[in-house]
Amino acid sequence: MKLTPQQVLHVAKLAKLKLSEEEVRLFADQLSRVLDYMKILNEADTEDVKPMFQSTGLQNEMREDLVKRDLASADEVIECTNRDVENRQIVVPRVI
Amino acid sequence: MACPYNKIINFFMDLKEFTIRRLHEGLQNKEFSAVEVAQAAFKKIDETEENLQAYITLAKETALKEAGEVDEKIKNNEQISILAGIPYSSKDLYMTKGVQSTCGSKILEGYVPPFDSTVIRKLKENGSVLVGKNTGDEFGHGASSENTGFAVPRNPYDHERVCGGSSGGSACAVASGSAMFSLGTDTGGSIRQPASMCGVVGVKPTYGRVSRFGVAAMASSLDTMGCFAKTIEDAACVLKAIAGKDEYDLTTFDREVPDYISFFKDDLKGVKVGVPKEYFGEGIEEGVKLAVEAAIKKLGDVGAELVDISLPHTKYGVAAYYIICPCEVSANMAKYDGLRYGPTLKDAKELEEIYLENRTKFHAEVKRRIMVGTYALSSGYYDAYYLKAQKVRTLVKRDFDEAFEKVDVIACPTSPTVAFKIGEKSNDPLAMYLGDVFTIPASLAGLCGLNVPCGFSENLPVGLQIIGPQFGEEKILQAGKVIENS
Repeated sequence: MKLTPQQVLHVAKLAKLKLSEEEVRLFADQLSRVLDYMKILNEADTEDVKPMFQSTGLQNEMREDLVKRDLASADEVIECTNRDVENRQIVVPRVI
Repeated sequence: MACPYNKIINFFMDLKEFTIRRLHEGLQNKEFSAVEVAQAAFKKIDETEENLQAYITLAKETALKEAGEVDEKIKNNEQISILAGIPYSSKDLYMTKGVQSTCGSKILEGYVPPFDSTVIRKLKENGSVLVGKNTGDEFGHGASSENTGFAVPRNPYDHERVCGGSSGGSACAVASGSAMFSLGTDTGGSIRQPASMCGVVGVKPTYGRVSRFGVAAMASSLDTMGCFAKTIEDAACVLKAIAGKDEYDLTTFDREVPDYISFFKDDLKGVKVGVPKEYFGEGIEEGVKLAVEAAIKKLGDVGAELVDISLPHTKYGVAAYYIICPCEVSANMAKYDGLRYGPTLKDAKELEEIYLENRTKFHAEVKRRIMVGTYALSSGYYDAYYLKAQKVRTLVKRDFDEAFEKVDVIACPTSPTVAFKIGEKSNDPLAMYLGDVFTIPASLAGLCGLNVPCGFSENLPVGLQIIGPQFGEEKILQAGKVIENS
């Protein structure tokens, strides 16, 4: 299969990636070959086979909603950030 | 044991000549101090780093402080753990409080975490001494440690060749003697394969045996936290310390951690070793095949029964993995948006600008995997790719379940080739992916596996892979010990 540059740009937009023209050309070629290889999976008979999303078999693992240990104090978090800090609050760009 | 010449002797201390147990004995008997051991590690780094590039960040100040604390305990005749005062390094995916953690990527350059990952915390509690953070493929994306915003680590046996990946720098640190053990992560082979290429022991535990908390996630249903060491016993000591249930990672099992060393014996009488025919076909270098076959014969010589087995869905492993992994990657990499941590674009006018500008810092391989994952999960493609791959994953696991009804462990090559030249595969992602053919199936099934060095081909290390059932770490360590002793 051959991914078109438009398809590559669409996927990049979904993934919030900005690609140069050269990257679009390169990825169209490389990703096409990778996705082509995946066709081998069509040979596997998966009729009546359930998907396996994880190997543990664990379900609904819960814990008590209690704070037992601080991973880091507020001071330690503030000390580690490279963002501006105002009134002991880390300043980030407006998202909403 | 005081000796007036100790200071001169210890200046020449080469950690390559020590095991963890020997260092522990030496520390307890006061033959040398933990500070001297740490200094030996940094001396080795000074001597080798220009050629090997195994480190992104060195933590000399904190290391000497940690070593000093161990010396204080020894001075006061306090009980110390076998890992106390032992210098180690860590793949840069592990968050280390107060020490830069970049995950090998420019998108996190300068990031200093305010907390430790669980594994690092456990090693601190044992008194181990972190010397630095290793180079490797960015966020674990790769099999050569070339996909990085930082230096490419070089194979200690041939500086023109790769260390393997993605935990290449970690394997290199142990192989070259600057760390007694090193932490890595293994999602599709990223501990076992570099261990094979650098000639060291590498252990990938069962998924859920060791906490993933505080380690940058790559593919959350596949990531495992493990270690490199010079010897099987060393690796067993580390695994005992880092394994166990963690309330911060609810995919860990509430299951006792055995004393892995107590399972060591001199023979493998009563042990059945499966030899899968699919792992010895096309694509494996002749020198690798010969070394691995000779090692498997040694298992038979010490009493193991060698059993021919088949894992018929092996050929689908790479395809299934390189859909599932990128899909999970595309979700996990979404957090690197430049908002909360890492370098960021200041004075942006739009939020979108911040996302796009910051995410250009990813290496090309990371972008490729995000895109494959995004494509495979997108509307119209989910069933054909992701769901299909997860069904094939079930078939791969079934192969192993059926095999482990007949055998105790499986022996096979770790990598189809020895270490290749730097740059040889960097323009061909698919060729790189196909190199993971022997390590991927055990990862898909969530099993344990290790690499143990078993010889050389073209003067480069060859590794034997031993795969075990879920929570079969003592079985694979026992088999690995036999190879080591032979």
